[in-house]
This record gives sequence, structure tokens and C-alpha cells, in this order.
Amino acid sequence: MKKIIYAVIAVSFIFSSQADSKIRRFQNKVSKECAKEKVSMLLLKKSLIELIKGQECDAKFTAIVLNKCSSLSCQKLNTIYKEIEQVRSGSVVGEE
Amino acid sequence: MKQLFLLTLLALVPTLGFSQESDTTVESRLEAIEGKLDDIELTQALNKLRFSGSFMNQYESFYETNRDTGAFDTIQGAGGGNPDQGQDSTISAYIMRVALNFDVAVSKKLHFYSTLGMSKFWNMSGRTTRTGGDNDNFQSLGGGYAMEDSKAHFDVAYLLYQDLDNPWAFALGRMTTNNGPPLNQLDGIERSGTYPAMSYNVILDGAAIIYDFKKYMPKKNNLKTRLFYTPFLNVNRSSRFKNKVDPSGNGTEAVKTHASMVTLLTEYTNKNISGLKSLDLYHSYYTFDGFYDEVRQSPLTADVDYEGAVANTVYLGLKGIGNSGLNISYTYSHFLVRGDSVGELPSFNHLYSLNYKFDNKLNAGHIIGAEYIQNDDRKVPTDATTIHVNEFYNLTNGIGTHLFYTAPLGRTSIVRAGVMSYEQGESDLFYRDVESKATATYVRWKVFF
Repeated sequence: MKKIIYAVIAVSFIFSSQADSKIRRFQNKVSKECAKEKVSMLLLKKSLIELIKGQECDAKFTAIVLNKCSSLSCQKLNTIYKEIEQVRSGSVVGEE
Repeated sequence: MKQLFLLTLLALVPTLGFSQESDTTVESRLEAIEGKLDDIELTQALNKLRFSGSFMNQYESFYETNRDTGAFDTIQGAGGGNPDQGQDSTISAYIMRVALNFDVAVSKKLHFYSTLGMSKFWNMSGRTTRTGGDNDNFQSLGGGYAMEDSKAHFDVAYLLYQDLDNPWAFALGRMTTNNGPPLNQLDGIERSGTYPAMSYNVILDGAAIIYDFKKYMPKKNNLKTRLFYTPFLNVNRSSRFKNKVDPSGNGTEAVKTHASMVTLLTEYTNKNISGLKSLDLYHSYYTFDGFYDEVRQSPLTADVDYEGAVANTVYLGLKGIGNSGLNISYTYSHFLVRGDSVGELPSFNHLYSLNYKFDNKLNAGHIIGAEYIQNDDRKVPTDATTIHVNEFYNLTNGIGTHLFYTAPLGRTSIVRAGVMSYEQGESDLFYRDVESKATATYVRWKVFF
């Protein structure tokens, strides 16, 4: 239990500025797909960690995201992740 | 924020089984947790750097047949008088390109982006890419994409000041003006550069002001303008001035040190069209004058020949047509090259791009596509950053086709294979009296990290 609390707190700090634009891009893209359902930021962060670690769609938090958002498929989520991973921030002048 | 976490922890204390422990133990544990949070916060505060990058290797087989028409063999100077250019060429090349991105969040509103880039042929250094060598400006425009040697170049180094609550943004430095649309679609990724590729696929240094008209636009519509000031400089290290020697021996004439270049990029995006993921309509206008190119100077006159251009480029991109993976784009560019000796020379150029991104279980994310390019006789080279032996995107008086297939390998790499074939005729702008046909086959593997 304590480990989970540490993890949640650590994730909150780690994502606070450094990866801000990445999580923001991830959130924006997922939100567009899930216009009807609201997926919490914390859940998205946890899902992004799983994807960064190379885990698949059946990973704990990613599965919850997919379950909450009916219009988001595993393929689409993978595509979103690839897009934010393969295009660097600042690649268009004036866009973070 | 931290206090909130501590309060949450306090609320959770009973569930953690702390209730049976003494207050001192609880306090000491909370202190330990607070200490660890401080460590994390401190590490985070000190670590402003974000690292990413890509590594690409490519094999390209290139075959070109040339026929010298002899049309400009007798012209002296300015690139003329080059007989015997009719030999065929076959090249089998292995090329690599590495890009290491180091981005820093200087503050919430100020970001620094940088990329150290290098590209080269395997086990070869010191290559020059144009007859007479690239001039100083071209070398800067190509940076680490010139496939020259293993030296790393800063292909990106700019500051961006952006307040997300404000429509204005400012950029200063060596910017990501290259690899613009539609080149990103070849790899199935988002827009990865600023200028439309047919406008100018080069790295430009300078300053930019960006304005976002979002608040004036209907929902899911966006309009942005980006104004760039990117002058070309000519400064020698020793004498500070470049000099053109008078052929009659009466001294030298100093080359102007500064050639202004201004670009206005206007971008409209509509994501509210039925049966379409998005419509992108971009217009790029740029003008520059007083550009000095050493290899285009006439040895017969004492005067320095300066050149300039006005260019208008329109990019129209339709993504997700019919809610499928079909993407189509068309780029039209019109250049008016003007020079002291050449007068005004217009050119009209076209790039059509079509691709389909699969979205099924069998080959999700795979892309099949084609490009068709048609450039006029007076088209100036505008591409300095695609990694190819062939000159598909720099054709002059030519037409070309490009067929490709892109397959993702996991989430972090892609493989692309393609065939590019083109024909080029004579060009009076470059006094090129060679007609050529070329075919290039390539396969590349690009890893993102």
C-alpha cells in the first residue's frame, strides 16, 4: 500500500513540469477520442507510464482507460502513444 | 500540494495499520515520507532537461542515365561551359542519420529546444554535395543533414517564449523550419516541421513571432500566422568582408554582408468537416534579396551578382477522408527568381501526395502511399534536409514519382521502403545541358528513443 502511495506521489511530481507537454499532448489526444467520457488526469498519467514501460493494453490502468472510453481502441491508443513519442516538442515553431 | 498529500496520508494512516503504533512512530514515518517527497521535488527542480532522439540507417540504390545535349557548352561563367556531363552513374549507398534532442524548460513560459544532428555515408567523410562545393549559406541551411561527415551540428537551437493564456509567442535561434508537411506523412507521424516542404525544406536561423487567432475562430477551427525574419549573412573571419576579385586586376569589390529574408506563414485548420478528420490550408510567402552565391558569379564582369526570390506556396492537406486512413495533399509553389544578371525567372511547381494508413488488426499503422512531383525549368533547389542520394525533391525541369510502404516495428521504430524515379531536362537557370533519368530504391529503419 505504501509503495502505491509513493508511486502516486512520485508520478505527480515527475510529471509536474518536465514531461508536462508530453502528458498534455497525450491527454489532448485521448480527450478528443473520448469526447463523451471524462478520463481523469491521474489515470492518464498512470496509463502513460505503463505504455512508456512497454506494457500492452491489458496493463492495469491502460485497461481502465480503454474500458472507460468506448470509442478508444487499443490500436488507437497505441497510435496516439507513437505520435507523441515520435514527434518531438517544438518541432513546429510556436508549438510546445 | 505537498500538504495535501500529507493530509491524505494522515487520513490513510488507519488503513495502513499505523493506528496501533505510537504517535511518535507515526510522526517519524511521516517525516520520512516528507523527506522522500523533498528528494523527489528537489530532483525534479534540478532536472530541467528532457532527452529524446532518433537514429536512422538507410540503404539506397541509385541509377542515373545522363545525356549531354551540349546546349550550354560554349557559355562562359555562371555555371556554363561544362561539357562531357553525359556519363551514367550507379551508386549503392549506406547512410546514417542521428538526432539527439536536448530540451530544457527554462521556466514555465520559456523553453529551449536543441538537436544535435549528424548524417554521413558509412565509412566516408568530406563529401561535398554540389559542384564547386556548397557555399557558406547552403552549408548552414543543410546543417547535420548534409551527409558530410561524423561531426555533429546543432540542427535545432532556439528559445520559445509562450504563455498559453496569450495568443502571442516568440522564437529566436536556429529553428525547426524543415521537414514540414507533407513529409511527416511518409512516416505516419504528426507534423514534424514548420514550413511546407515545397516552400523551403531547410534549417533557418532568425526570429519569429507567432499569433494564434483561436479566440476569434469557431469551434474546431484554427488560424495562426507565423512571421519569420531569417537574414543570410556573408562575413569572412579574416577580412570580415567577402570580396570578389575584379578580373581586370583593378582590386576587389566587397560583397554585401546582409541579405534580408522575411517569411509569412498563414495556417488554417478545420476539424469540423463531416467525413474528414481535418483540413489544413497553409500559405507561405517569402522574399529575399541580395543573396550572394559564389559559384554563380560571372568571371567576365567586375560587379557582384546578387540574386533574390519571391515565393508563394499553398499547401492543402485533407486527412482521414471518409473517416478512413486516406490522406491527400497538394502543394503548389510559385517562385520568381530575380538576379542582376538573370533578370526575373518564374517557375511553377507541384507536389501531389496520397497515402493510406491502415487501421486493422493485420497491419495497423502501416502506410502505403505515392507522391508525384513536377517542377519547372527555373526551380531553385529548396530541399537541403531530406536524406537521399537522389534529388527527387530538388528536381529542375523534371517530373518524378515516389512509391513507398511504411511499417511500424513496435511503438518505437519504423521501416520504410520506396522507389523514386524521375526525369530531368535542361535548365537555363543553371546552364545545365544534361537530360537525365534516374531510379532510386531505398529502405530505411528509423528508431525513436
